[in-house]
Amino acid sequence: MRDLSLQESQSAAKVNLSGPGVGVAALDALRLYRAADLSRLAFETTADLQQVDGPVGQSRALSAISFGTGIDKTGFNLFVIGPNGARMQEAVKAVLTKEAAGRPAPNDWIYVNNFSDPDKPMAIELPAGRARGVAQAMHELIDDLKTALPTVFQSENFQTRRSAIDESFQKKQGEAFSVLRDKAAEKSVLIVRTPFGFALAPAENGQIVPPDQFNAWPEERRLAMQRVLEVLEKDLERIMHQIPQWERERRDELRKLTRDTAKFAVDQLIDETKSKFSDLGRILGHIEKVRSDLVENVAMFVAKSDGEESEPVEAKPGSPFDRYQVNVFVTQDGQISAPIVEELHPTLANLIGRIEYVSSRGVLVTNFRLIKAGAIHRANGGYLLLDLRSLLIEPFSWTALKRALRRGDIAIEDVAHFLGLTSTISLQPDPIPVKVKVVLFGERMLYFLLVALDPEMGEHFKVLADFENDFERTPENEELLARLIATLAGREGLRPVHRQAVSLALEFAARLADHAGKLSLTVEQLRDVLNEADYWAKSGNSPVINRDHLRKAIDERIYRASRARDRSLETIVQKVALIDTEGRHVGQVNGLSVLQLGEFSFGRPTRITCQVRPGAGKVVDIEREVELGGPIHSKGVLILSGFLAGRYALDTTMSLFASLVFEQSYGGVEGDSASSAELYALLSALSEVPLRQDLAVTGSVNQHGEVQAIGGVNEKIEGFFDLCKARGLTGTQGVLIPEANVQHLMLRHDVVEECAAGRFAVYPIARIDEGITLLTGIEAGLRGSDGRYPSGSINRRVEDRLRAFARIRKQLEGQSQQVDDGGPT
Amino acid sequence: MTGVTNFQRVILGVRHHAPREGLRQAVDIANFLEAELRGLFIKDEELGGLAGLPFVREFRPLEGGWHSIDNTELSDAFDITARSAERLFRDAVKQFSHSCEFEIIRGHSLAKTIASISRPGDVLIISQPSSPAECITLQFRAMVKAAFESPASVLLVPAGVVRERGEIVALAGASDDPCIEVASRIATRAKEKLVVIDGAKIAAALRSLARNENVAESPTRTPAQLLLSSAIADLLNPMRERLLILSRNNFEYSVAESISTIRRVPVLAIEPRSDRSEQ
Repeated sequence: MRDLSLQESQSAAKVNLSGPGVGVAALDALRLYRAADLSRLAFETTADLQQVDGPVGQSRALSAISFGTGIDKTGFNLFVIGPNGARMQEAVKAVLTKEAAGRPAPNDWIYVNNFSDPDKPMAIELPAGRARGVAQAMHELIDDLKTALPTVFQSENFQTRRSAIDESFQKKQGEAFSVLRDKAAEKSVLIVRTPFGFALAPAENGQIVPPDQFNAWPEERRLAMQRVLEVLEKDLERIMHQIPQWERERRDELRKLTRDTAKFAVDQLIDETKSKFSDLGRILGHIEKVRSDLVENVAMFVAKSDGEESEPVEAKPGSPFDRYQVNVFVTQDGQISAPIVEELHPTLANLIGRIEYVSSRGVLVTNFRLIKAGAIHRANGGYLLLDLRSLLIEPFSWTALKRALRRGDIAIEDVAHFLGLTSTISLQPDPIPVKVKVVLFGERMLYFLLVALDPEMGEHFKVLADFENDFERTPENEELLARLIATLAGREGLRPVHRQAVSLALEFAARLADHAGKLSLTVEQLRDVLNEADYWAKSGNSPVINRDHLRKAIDERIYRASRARDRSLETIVQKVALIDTEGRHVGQVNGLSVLQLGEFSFGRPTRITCQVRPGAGKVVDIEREVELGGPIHSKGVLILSGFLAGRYALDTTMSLFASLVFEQSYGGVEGDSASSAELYALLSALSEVPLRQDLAVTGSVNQHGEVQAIGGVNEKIEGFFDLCKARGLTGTQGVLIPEANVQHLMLRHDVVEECAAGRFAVYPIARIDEGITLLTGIEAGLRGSDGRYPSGSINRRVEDRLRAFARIRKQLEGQSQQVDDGGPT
Repeated sequence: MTGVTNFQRVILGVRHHAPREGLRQAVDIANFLEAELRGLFIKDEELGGLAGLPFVREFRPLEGGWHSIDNTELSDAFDITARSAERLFRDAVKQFSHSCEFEIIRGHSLAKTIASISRPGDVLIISQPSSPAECITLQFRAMVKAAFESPASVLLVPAGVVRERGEIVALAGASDDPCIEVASRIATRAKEKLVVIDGAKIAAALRSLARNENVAESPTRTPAQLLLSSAIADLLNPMRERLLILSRNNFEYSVAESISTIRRVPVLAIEPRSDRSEQ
């Protein structure tokens, strides 16, 4: 690398260097920052402005939302994407609230016991707001029955009738045995109780005849007794066999008595309850089933005997009275419009509902009362808002949502059964038909990934609402944004914002948009900076937020986040990282990159160097060779080869070996925004003309030598400016940027001031030739009609050098061939 | 009129097949008598003779057939039933507040056995079997008769007692009937209301009932006893008593048994005191 003085370069090119830059003029300070124009809006503070209703600048998204919520067809659910901070949820909710107000509240749903199959609870749909009334009525019915039924069954009347049945049975038995006893007594036979049964024994004087006495009887008498015993045994056996039948008859009579008594007690209360729901056919049907079940299971109401305390009125889940209660699953009690439900934690259970269990005597039990609604149930008939990322990280939730949308109903599944972790009996409640508009919110990348990878996306989410990142900076839109600022201030309870501060806020919005001609619509960031400005206003006891407060807020935000930037600058200033900001060097240029750490981005100069020698026509990107360069960066470097090959020494082989590197860069490098800087370094190395080190370069280049726009232009300029300012501005320093990036300039106020004072400059470059001319002070040169570049021009020098490399290579190849052929070297 | 009002022992005859509920209720009442409780299983050795009688067989309801009677089997069966009876007794006395013990006695004749073990100051508890078949057996009838012939008081506990809370009712023949004092003491201990029905009311009820031509006569009882039982039952109708107390001097045992069966409440028939002064 040879350092040439400015004078040497100028004389070589015979170019008149009449200023810090040759050829391209620096941008006027007015083009570095576009101030807000609120001249058409008369106000002192935002208190004088009319607030806006709804989001601004989102006509595309709002149109989509309006269409998506209005169309009543399957699959037309909404997918809302946009930048972070766009407050999409708020905007969508505002639209949905208006839409929902025009729609009636959906019906209520209850679950009741299925008496014929308790494992399959029944779902009943009711008009909106009626569920609680039904539940309360059933609860009161059971409460009343808990009092009425025991009273009836403990009444003297019932007890007497029951006793009469028992006595009748006892009497029947008693009479049968009495007859037998008397018959036996006539025959001098006694009925005796043995340990396991009964026996008939001959008797005398009321005592059993002892064996020796019996054996002393005449045979005839003994035989006669034997015959008597045989007859009496048959009688005893017959009676004993008849007892079970009498017992059955007794039980049947008791059962009938119990049923009739229960029915009488239950009927009146049941009929009273039914009268409240004469318009609800299914409820009437259910109450009839309750009636039948009550009559059959009245025992549970009268299980307590006299003197014992009765069960608490509030029956807890798991108690036998549960079977008659009602599970108010979803109710619109108090709601007069369609529901809007936002589920912030969309686990499977929170989404589709769950079946809970309670512990009862050491085991887990469940019933229909423990079925809990999920977000989809609560949103049924209305709108369900979900965050896509939250949905995707929850196991099975995404699948369950799609399944519900496809089936048009929700089946509550126990996740343990889902996974096959358990095979215990669980409930299978009736699925509930679902008609809900789902609105998914997500990042753009997630949306596009999902569309690419999930074929069902298109089936269920046909409406895309894409929120803009920014909108055109027209006077009308500046006014709109000013009103939005007024709205934010009002909503947040902030001090009124002074007109000058509003202007600054609009300029801040343009900087956020990274475009002088646009205004960012990331409302969240505007809100944040206004809140911070309010804080500073409060600290200063100011009744309004003025421009200084807002300025301070912006500066303080940068200050808080800029530790890494400041440390980076420090390493350069302390020459730990070598960056020149004066002088010239061959094959060396100041490139610019942007580092993003969290929410904060900053520019940083990087030395790019190039070495050349004769070779096989390869431009080596050292970053790529060590796998520190990303594919886009590598592409940019390869484009340089194309540029050289397309412009220079077309009649000879490309015999160049060039190596390019980002000096002292040990992290990854991606993007092609430094490709123009790399090309300048390459051209400098080939032409052996030094490049100005007081200028930094950013811009991508194509094979035609056109300099293309890049991102982060403001940060990059500010990064180099900060370094130059730290070292002391020389008055010749500046940055070359793509001309296409001029529209993006919204530089910091100190940069603009220094540029206005002529101590720093920003140069718009459209073609490489402009840039190389500025960096070298020598004309790039145009190819003449003779096919050659002007003598002394950069292009001529480059071409001459390449031709020289080609000759050297040819010579070397020739020598090599001779050696192979065994000839002289 | 004199009668024992303080009791020293309560003797509870336990059968192995006795209903648990009846046993428990008997023990509950025994608690109020504040006396030592003695459970008794009588091994009726008179049954041993059955094995020596030809043609005599045992009918077993559970198995539904006839079986020959063997002395050894019978003896073993008695041992098993005795242990079962003891288990029932121990279970029933878990809440008993005073001392208790269980005893197995061999007796050739139930009547003689009961006569030998009972003495004044005792209460013999006779639980009515729930099975009508058992009510007509030799043993039960003999036991009831023997109990009422003994010097002890007798507590008859019917099958299927209808209530566990209610008034303590004294059926008094006269104002100094000792059953009033016993009833009063029990009512205090049981925290129940005391009701005294005097002889005049009983007599009036009896007269009223005698004029009723629909009362049927039982061939096994004197019409007077049946009428008396019915008259007392009518008097008790408005009440919800849990225990009736009367003096054996004033009522035949059949009346006590009959009232107990009709009302399905226990009846305590206190025995007459002979030559001991009241305490």
